[in-house]
Amino acid sequence: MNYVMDGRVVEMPRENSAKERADRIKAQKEAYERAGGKEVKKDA
Amino acid sequence: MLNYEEFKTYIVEHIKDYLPLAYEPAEVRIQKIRKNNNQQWDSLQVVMPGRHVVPSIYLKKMFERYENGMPVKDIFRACASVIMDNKEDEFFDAGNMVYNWELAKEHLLIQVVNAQSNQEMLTQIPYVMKEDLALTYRIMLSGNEDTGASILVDNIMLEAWGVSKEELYESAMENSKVMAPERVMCMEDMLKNMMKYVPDDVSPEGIELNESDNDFMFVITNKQQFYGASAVFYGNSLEELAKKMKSDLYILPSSIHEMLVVSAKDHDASELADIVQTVNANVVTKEEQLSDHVYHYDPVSKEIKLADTTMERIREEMEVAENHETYQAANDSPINRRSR
Repeated sequence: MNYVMDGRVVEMPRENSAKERADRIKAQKEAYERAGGKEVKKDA
Repeated sequence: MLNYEEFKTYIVEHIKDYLPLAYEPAEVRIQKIRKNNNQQWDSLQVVMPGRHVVPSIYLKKMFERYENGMPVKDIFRACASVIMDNKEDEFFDAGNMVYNWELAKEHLLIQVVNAQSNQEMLTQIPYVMKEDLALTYRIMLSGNEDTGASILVDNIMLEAWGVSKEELYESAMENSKVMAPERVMCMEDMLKNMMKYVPDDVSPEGIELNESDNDFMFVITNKQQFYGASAVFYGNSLEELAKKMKSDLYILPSSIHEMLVVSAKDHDASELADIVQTVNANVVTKEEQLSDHVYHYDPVSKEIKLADTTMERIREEMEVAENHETYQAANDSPINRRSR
């Protein structure tokens, strides 16, 4: 939910759940690991 | 079952039935709200005469609830509850900030967005380009740190303030570093932190670089963890990470709220870009996406540059897309349809 103030949009990003964000970052981490990112770093 | 257009009309026609009689003189309207990346959302607003702040209910989200089986009367009750939750008092100082530079400059925050996806918005607001990204400005509304309430700085405000774009950039950068300082954490710590929102007094301050097995990938954001991708442009965190990793860095745009950083050693920028694109397509909502490209940080020059492509190539692609659209529009025009 947001507000409009004199025609301007008041955004409230904290309204998005922290879990949603954590899921997004976790998915990125997993995608990176699947592509071998972690192993490459460890062997380097 | 109503379709979306019928649903919108039904809500507008009946919302007052669920509101107190005091709302009788209010105007019920639907306004198209432009979100990040040119996403247009229908916003339901019930405007009382003389009110400056109006709750905005995104009907797309309400329609999703309806499609998922929520009874219409419960949707009306949810909307009514939001409409009656008036925040005008909390935003009372915001109206002053819009036209008062001295007040506004203490609340400026930099937000980075994708320039290409926000072309239309960028015609109406001040910004600074960084490769294919645009640094834009928001005013954080004081007293609303818990919700992150903010408004976008537009050209009308800039004109009212009577400051140059350079002065705006310098003030916003300076203020962002103080008001929304950068946070750098290894991925595991970041995930733990996000799963239980940690209040400021126990949240790690500044750049925390613990040695661990999980430190192959770092997250850069700001204290608030929203609009935090812009923190990479503060400068310090990338410099520290490059020292720690003893290498150049690749920056993966996770979303407008955070960036991911890995060592550039033994990694291929194109492969990383493939990962970013896959994640964007599958996990990140359109309005939170930042870019499909990967960026390279050079600790010597301290510059951030596109890694998997170049600005020239992006411009060429944009021209091709624009020409394609023009061609399609011309061929779809009534004149051409008649002549086929």
